[in-house]
Amino acid sequence: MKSTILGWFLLVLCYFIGNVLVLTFSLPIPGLLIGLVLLLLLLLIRGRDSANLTHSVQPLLKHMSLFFVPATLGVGLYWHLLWAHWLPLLLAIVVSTIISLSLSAKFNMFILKTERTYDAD
Amino acid sequence: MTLIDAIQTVWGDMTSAFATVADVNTLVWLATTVMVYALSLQIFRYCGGQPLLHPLILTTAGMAGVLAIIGVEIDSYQSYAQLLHWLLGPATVALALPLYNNWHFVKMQGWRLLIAVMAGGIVAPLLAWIALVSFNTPLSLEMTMLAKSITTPFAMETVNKIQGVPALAAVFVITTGIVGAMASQSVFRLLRVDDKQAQGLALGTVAHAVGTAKAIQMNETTGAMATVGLCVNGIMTSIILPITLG
Repeated sequence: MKSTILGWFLLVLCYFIGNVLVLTFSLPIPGLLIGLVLLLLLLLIRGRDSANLTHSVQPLLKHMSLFFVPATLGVGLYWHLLWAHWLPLLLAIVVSTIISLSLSAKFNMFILKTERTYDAD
Repeated sequence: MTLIDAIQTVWGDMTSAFATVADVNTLVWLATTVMVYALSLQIFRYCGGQPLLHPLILTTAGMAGVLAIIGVEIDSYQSYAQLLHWLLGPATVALALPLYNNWHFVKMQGWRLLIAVMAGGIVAPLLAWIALVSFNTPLSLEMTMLAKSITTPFAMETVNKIQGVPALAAVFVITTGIVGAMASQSVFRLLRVDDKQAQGLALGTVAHAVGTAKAIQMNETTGAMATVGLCVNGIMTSIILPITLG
C-alpha cells in the first residue's frame, strides 16, 4: 500500500515538473515528454527499487485506451471535413502505413544487430 | 509565465479535473464509460485481439451511441469526463516504465536503434503528408497527419503546437495503428522479414500502441522491441515536429 502511494506520487510529480517547466520556460516540446524523461532518469539512476514502486502505475498503461475516449469522441465534430477528403486520407492512412511498415521492417533487418541469444529458437 | 504562475496553472488543471467528481452527472458518465470500456475489452479478448475491434474503437462507438440515444452533446460529455482526459497525462509519463524494463535492448542496439527508429519515424509521416499535399487538403489536416505514427497523447499535444486538430490526431493515430497491426503479418511474410527485433521495432515505430499490442501477441522479443520503438519514436517526433514547425 505504501509503495503504491509512493509510486503514484513519483509519477504525478514527474508529470507535474514536466508541465511546469514547459510553461515557465515556454519550451516548444510537450510537458509530458519531459515528465517521461525525468521518470526514466529516476528509474535508470535508482534502479530496481524505484521500478518496484512505479510498478503500481501499470494499470494506467494497461487501460490507456479508456482515457482516449473523451478525445476521440470529438471526431464527431469533424465528419464533414473527413468525408470531403476521404480519398487522400485513405491513401495517407492505409496505403502509406503499409508502405512505411514494409520499408521500416526491411531497413531494420539491415541495420539492427541480430543477437540470437535473445531469441527462443 | 513565472514559476509560481506555472505551478498554479498545472495544479489548477489537476484539482479542477478531480473536483468534477463531486458532481452526480460526472459520476454517472464516468461509470458508464468504464462499463462500456469493460464490455469492449471483453469483446476484444473474446475475438482473439482483432485489431479492428480495438477497445478504443468499440468504446468510442458505444459511447457515441449512448450519447445519441440520451441526447447529450459531445462537449458536455467531455466536460464530465475531464478526469479521464487528465489521466492521459500521467499515463503517458508512465511509458518510462516499459522503456526502462526493455532498456537492455536500447543498450544492446545503441545508435543502430536510433537510426532505425528515425528512418521509420520520418518515412511514415512523410509519405502520408505527401499523399495529402498532392490532393491539396486543408493545412490543418496535413499538420495533424504528421503526428499519425506516434502514440495518441504525444500526438494530441504535439499537433496542438503545430496548428493541427487534437481530436483528429487521435483518430488518425488509432486508424494508422489498426492498419499497421492488421497488415503486419502479411508484410513480414511477403518481404521475408523474419527477425523478431526488426519486426517489433517496425511495428512500434510505425503503428505505435496498437502495433505494440499486436507485437506482444506475436512474441516476447517482438513485443519488447515494439515498446522501445513506440517510446523512442514518440520522444523523437514530439521533439522534432514542434521545433521545426511550431
